Formats: sequence, C-alpha cells, structure tokens
Amino acid sequence: MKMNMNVQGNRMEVHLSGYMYVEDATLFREEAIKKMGEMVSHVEIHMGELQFIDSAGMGVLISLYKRCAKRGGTMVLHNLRGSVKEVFELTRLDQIFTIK
Amino acid sequence: MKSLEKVFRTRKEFEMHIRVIRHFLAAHVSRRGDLLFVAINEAVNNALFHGNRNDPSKKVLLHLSQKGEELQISVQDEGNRLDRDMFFRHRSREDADPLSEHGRGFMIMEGCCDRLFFPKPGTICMIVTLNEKTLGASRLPGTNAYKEEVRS
Repeated sequence: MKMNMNVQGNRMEVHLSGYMYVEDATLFREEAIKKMGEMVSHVEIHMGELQFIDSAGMGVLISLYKRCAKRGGTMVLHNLRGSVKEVFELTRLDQIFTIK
Repeated sequence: MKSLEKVFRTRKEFEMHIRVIRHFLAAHVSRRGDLLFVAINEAVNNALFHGNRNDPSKKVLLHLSQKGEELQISVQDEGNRLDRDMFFRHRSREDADPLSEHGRGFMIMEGCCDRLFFPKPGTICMIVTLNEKTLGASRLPGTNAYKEEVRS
C-alpha cells in the first residue's frame, strides 16, 4: 500500500492507494499517530485508489476517528469504492464515519 | 478447476497464493469474488494470529470447492479454540460498542456468505449459494447492492 500524509496546522490530509493488508494497517497506524502528534484534530482520508481493506485497517480508522473526536475534531473519508465501500456497509461503519 | 487447496504457515506464505485464490474466485463467483476474498483473508488472519498464535511451525489449510450450487470455503488451523465462542463474544461486543476497534472480521465473514459455521475447534466454514438468484446479484448477501437487487 502507498500512503501520503501532509500536515498543516491542526489538519492532516491522507492519500491511500493499493491494498491495505494487516501489516500495512500496522504501519499506517504508527505513521498516522506520529504525524498527528498533539496538534492534529481534523483528518481527511482520500481512499479512491484503495482497492482492499480488512478489519485491521478498519480498526486503525476507528482509532484515528476516536483520537480526532477526543480533541473536538473531525475525520472524513472520501471516495470509497468497490469492495472497500461494501466492507464499510457490511460492518455498518458507513453509518458512523462521515463519507463523501 | 472445481477445487483449490493451499497450505501455509505465515502471512508471507499466504500472500504468495493470493493471486491464485483471487483467480479461482473470479472464475466461480464472478464480480462477487472481490468481497469474498476479504472474508477469506479475515478467516486466514484469524487462523494464523489467533488459532496458531503466530507459530510458524503450525499450518493453516485453506480449501475452496464448488459442489453443485454451493461454493464451500474452509480454513483450518492447528489451535484448539472454539471459534464459535469467539464469534458470539465479538458479535455481542459489536452490538454494545459500534466503535470497537476489534472483532469486525467475523462480521465480514458472516455478511459475505449464506452460512457460517464451526464444525470443529480450529475450523471455520463458509458456504456461498450459487443459485440463480444470487448469481444474478452483483454482490454478496450482507451488502446493500445485493438486498436491492433481490428486492427488485
């Protein structure tokens, strides 16, 4: 999986592409938490080029979402497609996250 | 090819088989294969990390076979855990806390197949029915696309 993260002030923008298997999810969690530091409370994640996510990846997204909420911020997911979108429906996470 | 069997001990070994597994699914369940692969991946992670506890001396056996109008998938590890107990424990936790960071693997497996069962300790079986109705649907039973298609 490829990930690209940019932080500006209290905002972080993330672009994910490829396949997020369990080992990628671990790296994503470590990297995202490091980049967020103490400042970031608003996160935008672009997932249009992400072709696979499993429950480990979803656990990381929930963890980031809770981190934002705790800081009074938001997390928005963009452009979910194909099986990634369907896995969100199956697990009902589409009703919890803000998805655009 | 009506059946496929793979044996592996680690994630790395499993990943060497992903292309063949995806190919098998594409041939047997068409467009639904992508989502079904997510369910298989969850069962494999469950077997490697929870069943075999990451022990590379222990094997996981993945078996896929089409029998008539059914696609049967079984994932067997060398642990003695009763996955059925874990399944119900995770399900009740999901109901209680929608923001739980764990346990969605079983939700995905359950949503992707017509029947999920645990014939013996360390074994998970998923059955997907390939009847006329489901073959016509673009996706698997738990998805909105499937429900809408069957309803119409």
